[in-house]
Amino acid sequence: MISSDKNILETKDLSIGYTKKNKQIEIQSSLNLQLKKGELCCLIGPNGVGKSTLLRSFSAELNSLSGDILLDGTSIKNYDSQQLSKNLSIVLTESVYIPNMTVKELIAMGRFPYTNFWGKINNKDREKVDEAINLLSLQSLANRNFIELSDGEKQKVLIAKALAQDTPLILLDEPTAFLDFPSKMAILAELRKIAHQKNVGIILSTHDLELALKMADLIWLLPEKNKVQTGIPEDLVLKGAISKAFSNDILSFDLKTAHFIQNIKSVDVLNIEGNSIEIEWLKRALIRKGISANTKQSMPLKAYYDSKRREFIIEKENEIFAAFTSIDKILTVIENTKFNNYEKDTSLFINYRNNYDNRLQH
Amino acid sequence: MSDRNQSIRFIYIILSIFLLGLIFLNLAIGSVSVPSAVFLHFFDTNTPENEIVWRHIILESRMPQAVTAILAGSSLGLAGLQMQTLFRNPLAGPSILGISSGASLGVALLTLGSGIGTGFIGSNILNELGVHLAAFIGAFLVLFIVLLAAKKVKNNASLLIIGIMVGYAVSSIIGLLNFVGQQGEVHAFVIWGLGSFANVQNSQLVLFIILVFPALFLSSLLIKPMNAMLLGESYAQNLGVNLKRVRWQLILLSGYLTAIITAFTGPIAFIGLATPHLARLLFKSSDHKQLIPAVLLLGTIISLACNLLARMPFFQDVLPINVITSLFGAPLVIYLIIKRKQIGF
Repeated sequence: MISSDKNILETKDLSIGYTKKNKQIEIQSSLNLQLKKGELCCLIGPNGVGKSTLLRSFSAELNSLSGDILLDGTSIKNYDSQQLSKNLSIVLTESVYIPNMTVKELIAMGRFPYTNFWGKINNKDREKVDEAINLLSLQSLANRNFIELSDGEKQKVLIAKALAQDTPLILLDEPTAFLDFPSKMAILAELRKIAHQKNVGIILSTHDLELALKMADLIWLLPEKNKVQTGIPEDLVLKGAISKAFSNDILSFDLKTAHFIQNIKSVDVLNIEGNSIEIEWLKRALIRKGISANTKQSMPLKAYYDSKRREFIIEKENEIFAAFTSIDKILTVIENTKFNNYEKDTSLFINYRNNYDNRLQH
Repeated sequence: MSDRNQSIRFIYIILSIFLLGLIFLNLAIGSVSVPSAVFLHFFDTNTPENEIVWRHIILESRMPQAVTAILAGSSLGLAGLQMQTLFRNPLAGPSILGISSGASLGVALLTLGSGIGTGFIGSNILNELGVHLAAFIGAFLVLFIVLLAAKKVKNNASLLIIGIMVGYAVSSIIGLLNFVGQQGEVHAFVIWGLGSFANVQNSQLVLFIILVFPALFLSSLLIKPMNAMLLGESYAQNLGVNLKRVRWQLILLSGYLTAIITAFTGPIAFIGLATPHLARLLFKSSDHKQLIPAVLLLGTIISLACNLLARMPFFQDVLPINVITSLFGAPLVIYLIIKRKQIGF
């Protein structure tokens, strides 16, 4: 990883927000952030904390309320629109709809700041466009019509357009929104590669905390009320900054797995044994239903997976009680059981038990 | 790419043949049938005595009509394209900002308000000039208001709504004038509102051309920023486009062209809205380098074709141009859009 010590982007006591009827509405203040070249930075935080506002302030689409933004050491106020277009490119959430334009033509629009009065593409422009196409592996799509692409492909094309703009800083506003998980991963991996290979600074806002923690070199965490926190993902997790910013009544952040888990309100019923894949998924299913899936001896029912029979077995006092071929059936039974009254309601399991006994005999 | 270039060249050749044919037919066909011999001797120095009348019809009536149609079609097509690109809206057209309504108001005030209106079309040149001037003033007044709003309002969608509202407000005044106007005046105003390419005399043609051409030329200088605008305002700005300036330039040029054309021909429906769509469908491009020449050519062809249809001998009279543009044009565009399934701005 090549990385110069110079910050490509730096903010000094920056305060962002809107001006409405001469009244300033401040969304974030006292922001002192730094980004080096070659770094992929994820801007995360709950909805409405000003992620987009911050990005739009960086791109000079919005005026900041106070403080300063330094792009490559110089205040963005000193850049004219032409210079800015050569130093900073953007990828937005708003959809682009241009009929009759090929992917290549659209990427070539990124060369706009460099082309002549009529927008004529020269050899160097063509080179940069091809480079962007290659970096994002868009060769097979190059001559396709842009609007016929899938959302993920379109997003990649717009990133390629930003890349063709050949700027040391790229800003992306939620580039992974509306994408399926593999596409999200792919896009972030591409961006990381670009940041490292081309030595450009990349800032992207995202809701995908888990992805950000996995892929980012640097995280800027904008919490709702507290001060902004910056650092590498792992440090922020250990400091508890992540769980503090995102946990609420419904979800809490699990430090071990870096997943959000639902806060569990229901009672414990099952003592789940084993760590096979089937058991892990059973646990997930139970968590989804708000049922604790811990391993505690004190619980009345024991569950495990019989890999020979390919069945989930429920035991009570070391006696096989029921067997299930799918998790769905277990959930149905458990949901129909009143947990505080399980002794009486074990009758619900009896049918299953009989089935199991019958099959054992055959 | 060369395949595409070739097909584009082919389309241009076909359209040029169409254009030449239409120009000839516009001169040759009309309510008076001119013998073909007149055309054979047309460029002879000595005109036979008996052909003078026909020559006169061609030179003094049909020729200015054809030129007016050419100017109107190309300008309105371009103005429509400018509005559609600026507002990124396929429904935008030259009249969307209320400029042609402004022209109508000017004419309504003249014909309905002052009482000099009845029978003004055709015979009296002074009256005709008066109508042109009134339309001109009305259109520019609205254009001025819209440009002021464009300075104030940042958002294009808001500006679009303001333009439409100005149009409504102006139309309601016209409605009032219609309500209080004399029957004959109202009829004359309605006729003007249906549009005509026949109201420009040879003597006014030079002025017409001088007024239109600089705007056509200046419009071609905006190809690059217009292409960037296709991406949306934020992207365009990020590419270094001075949004405010380009927006102002586009409104000014489009509004100016619409104002001039409406002043000379009355409000022409449909051509400005439909021509850019036809251009995109035909040339399969959103690149303004392609689209600007395309709308100029197609707009010309459409308006010449409409002018020709309006004067077909089997119609008892010369039909108003708007009857033709919308009646024949709308189904054609609907057909093309359904067939190609793609529409944009």
